Amino acid sequence: MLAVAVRLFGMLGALAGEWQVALRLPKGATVADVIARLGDRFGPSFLDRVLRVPGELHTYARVFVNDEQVDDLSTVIEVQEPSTEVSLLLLPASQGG
Amino acid sequence: MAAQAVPAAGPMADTWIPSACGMCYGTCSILGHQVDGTLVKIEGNPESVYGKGRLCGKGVSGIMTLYDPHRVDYPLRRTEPRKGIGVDPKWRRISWDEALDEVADRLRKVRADDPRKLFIQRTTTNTSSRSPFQIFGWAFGTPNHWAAGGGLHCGNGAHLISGIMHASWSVVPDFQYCQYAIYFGASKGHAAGHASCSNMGMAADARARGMRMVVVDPMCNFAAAKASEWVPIRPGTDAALALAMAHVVVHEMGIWDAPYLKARTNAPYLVGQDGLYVRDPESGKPLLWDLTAGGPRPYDAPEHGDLALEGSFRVNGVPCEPAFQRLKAHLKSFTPEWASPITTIPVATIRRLGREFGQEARVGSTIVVQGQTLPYRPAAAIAFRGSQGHKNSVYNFLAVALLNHLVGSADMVGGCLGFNPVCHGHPDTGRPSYIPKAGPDGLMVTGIWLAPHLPYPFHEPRMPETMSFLDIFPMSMMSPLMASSDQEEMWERFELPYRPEVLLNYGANSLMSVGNKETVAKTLRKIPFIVSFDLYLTEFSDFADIVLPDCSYLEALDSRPNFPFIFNLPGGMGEWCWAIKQPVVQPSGERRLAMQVLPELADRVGMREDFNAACNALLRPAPPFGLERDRRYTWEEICDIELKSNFGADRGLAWFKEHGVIKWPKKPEEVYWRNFVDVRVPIYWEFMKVVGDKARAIAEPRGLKIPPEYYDPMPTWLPCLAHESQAGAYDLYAFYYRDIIHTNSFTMENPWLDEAARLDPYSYTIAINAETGRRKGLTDGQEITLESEGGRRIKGRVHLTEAIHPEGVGVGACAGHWAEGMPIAKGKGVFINDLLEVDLAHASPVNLNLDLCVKVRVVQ
Repeated sequence: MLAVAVRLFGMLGALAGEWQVALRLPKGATVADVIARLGDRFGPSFLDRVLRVPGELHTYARVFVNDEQVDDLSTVIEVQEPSTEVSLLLLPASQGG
Repeated sequence: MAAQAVPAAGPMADTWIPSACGMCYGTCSILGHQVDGTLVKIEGNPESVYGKGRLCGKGVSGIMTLYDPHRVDYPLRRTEPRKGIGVDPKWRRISWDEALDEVADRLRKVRADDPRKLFIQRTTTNTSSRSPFQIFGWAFGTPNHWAAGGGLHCGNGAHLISGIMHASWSVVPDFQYCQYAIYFGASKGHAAGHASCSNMGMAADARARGMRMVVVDPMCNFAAAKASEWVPIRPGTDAALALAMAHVVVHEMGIWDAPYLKARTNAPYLVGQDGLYVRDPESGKPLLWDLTAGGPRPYDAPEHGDLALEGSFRVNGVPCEPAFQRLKAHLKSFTPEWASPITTIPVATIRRLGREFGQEARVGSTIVVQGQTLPYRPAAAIAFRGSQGHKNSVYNFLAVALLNHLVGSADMVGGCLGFNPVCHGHPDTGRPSYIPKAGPDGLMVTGIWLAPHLPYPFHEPRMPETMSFLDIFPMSMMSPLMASSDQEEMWERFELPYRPEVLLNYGANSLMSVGNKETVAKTLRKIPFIVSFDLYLTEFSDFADIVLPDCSYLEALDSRPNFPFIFNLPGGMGEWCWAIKQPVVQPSGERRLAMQVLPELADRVGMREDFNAACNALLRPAPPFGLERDRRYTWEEICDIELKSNFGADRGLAWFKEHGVIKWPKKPEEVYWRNFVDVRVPIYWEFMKVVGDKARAIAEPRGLKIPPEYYDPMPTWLPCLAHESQAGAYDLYAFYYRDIIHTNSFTMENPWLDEAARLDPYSYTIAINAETGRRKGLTDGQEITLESEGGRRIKGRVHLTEAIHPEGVGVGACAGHWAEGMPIAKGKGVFINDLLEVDLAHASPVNLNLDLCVKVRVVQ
């Protein structure tokens, strides 16, 4: 199994009510699997905030695996001891000028 | 003249320090002449592409802002609990520690409760505030962030459509090759704003070279005065003129660029009778009609023959036609005869403009640029704030944009250019690098943007969790609901589960920059705690609980004053350039740069890790330069990380402080990227219908009507409320324009600029057409009152002039201050925004741009 430490930054942590989540997934799990598992835990409104449509991040959602930004949800999460860290952050702001 | 970094203080030290201007968001590169620790002069930096050594009157006057004795020097706390216009806050000086303790305590409690209760507001004047305040907001977890009047007035249409059609924040003519530019309410190259001084030089060179320039505008001001021709137009009717010109080009001249439309737009996509794409049953992809094969195929099929732009077809029994066929039929009714009574422009003039544009586009011609043979389309239709600052914001701008796409001049040599939407990066590092790509339905997704919400693809309209309701209106960037008269009513109707409790302001003066002051004041009074970084005690500061003394741009550091390049680097061939902003003098008093305070505040709130993660999300530093999660960084360190990440370990902050800028040459593959990047843009906005239907399904059960005619896939002209007015006594259209002497409401406090404005016959006056004025018995210089239909009144001196449409009332800038903390500005000029209603009824039902033309009458 793959130990994944999820860190929810900013709005996601506040709305989920948890800032850190420990998950165990099968080896070969992808970033999409992590997000799906978070959706199971926090409900569809969590997924709505992260995914524009199933399988596609909102343009303002960021996912990092071990501090490297990942844009492709099919990226396989590599095993890292003691756990691999996946962090999510929303960048919900508008702009003028 | 050698540029040098800030020296250690010493007797008669004499240096020129490279930095960036902050008197408007053009952010031209400057050299500050410092003698013995005192700034004595500011000039343009000839080593930089930003301004190309030029500096406008505002830029050279910055020294008077720096040394203004009315600057705020210490943190202040109000002692008067009541808040209101004219209510003295009774400030008490406090220490920075005291101030930050109180602010952090408030923020910590709000964040633990619901981070959405933090509302961040900032000015557009100082672009250096954008990134750090975005980072702070993301880390905190609030979606409530706006730029006061910025965007709400000037960019919701221009940026959205430039983003979708050009992957850029704005558009300009390709000044080096353009032969015919027609401007619709735009001042690119003639006043303040994006790439201000660079564009001024390029526009002047283009005119000297022989570029013909037509300016369509209710007022003959900065752009029109330097044009070949001024075409006065009734405010808010630009779409009617542009559609009629398109009618002339397509139906009377039979001109369109078929290869461009087939390869670079969705013109060949098949559209069914329901207005939606006909899609491949298996893949769901839009279909086109392959004339060679005699059948349909998905838009991205690898091999294909000639594609149909016209005709009628059947796919699986469904009648359909290419999007271009639809557009062509749509344009049929928009004749010059139809447009003339709407715009007040004579039929013959409209027809001539259409023919000139069609002819000058030279469809089919090519040119060689640096060894590359490229399409040559030297005609550009350019729009900006004036044409899109209306209820019909989207169609007014889109109709103008379509002119370029019909003749294939979008991002082609001589045509209408986005600002640098493709960058292959510095040769040594390959950074920064970005390029548009194909998104849903093959339509273009920008490679870079000013905000994380890209102009396309849109998110699904949904029930709002933001104060702004951008959730329901995904094509908007700014919303009047942040300070509107119907704010509470809408929040209740849509069950917004919280209310703002803390407002963090950076330099914005929303009392003046949004609309009428009473409405804005009412919304501010409801917010329990307001903290504001300010240079002066402004009208907004009067509502703050704590004021923090900010540094001016001449005391400030920023590693990215001009990034991304789609904002301010001039378009066209030339050089890439990255410049920094650095202090040319040390701050006096207890002033602290807001950007330096934010990391400390994040620490005090207990969100250091979130802040660093947000920094990494924005900067995307290359390994090994990323911010470590739990280390505290100063603003200087963050700037250093960004520069080293982009330009190598040897080119960090110290290198840039010495050199000021780094440059490298642009390539034709970058500037004329549309020939090299396989993406399409929509001449038929099929998604409008989809988005509109979903938005209505949410809004209308809650009593918010969204008229479907605003969500058609093709533009039309829809009247503003002012056009529909039935009250005959209110016979003039009041509007404001950007004064070249002033920026927003900020610069009236600058004594040099104030003096220039007092000498200028327009800056502080109300311009009315001379003949109209005579009919009304007005005399030049007379004090008059303007009254809106809503009963709002403003006063000012009238200036009678031939340089304005007979139905127009033009006011320059956003003047008319009343704050005691801005004594130079106080009582000067006209506060035209006081006429503006701020509510959803006066905003575009698509992008929420505020409608800026107001029907008024003169009350003597």
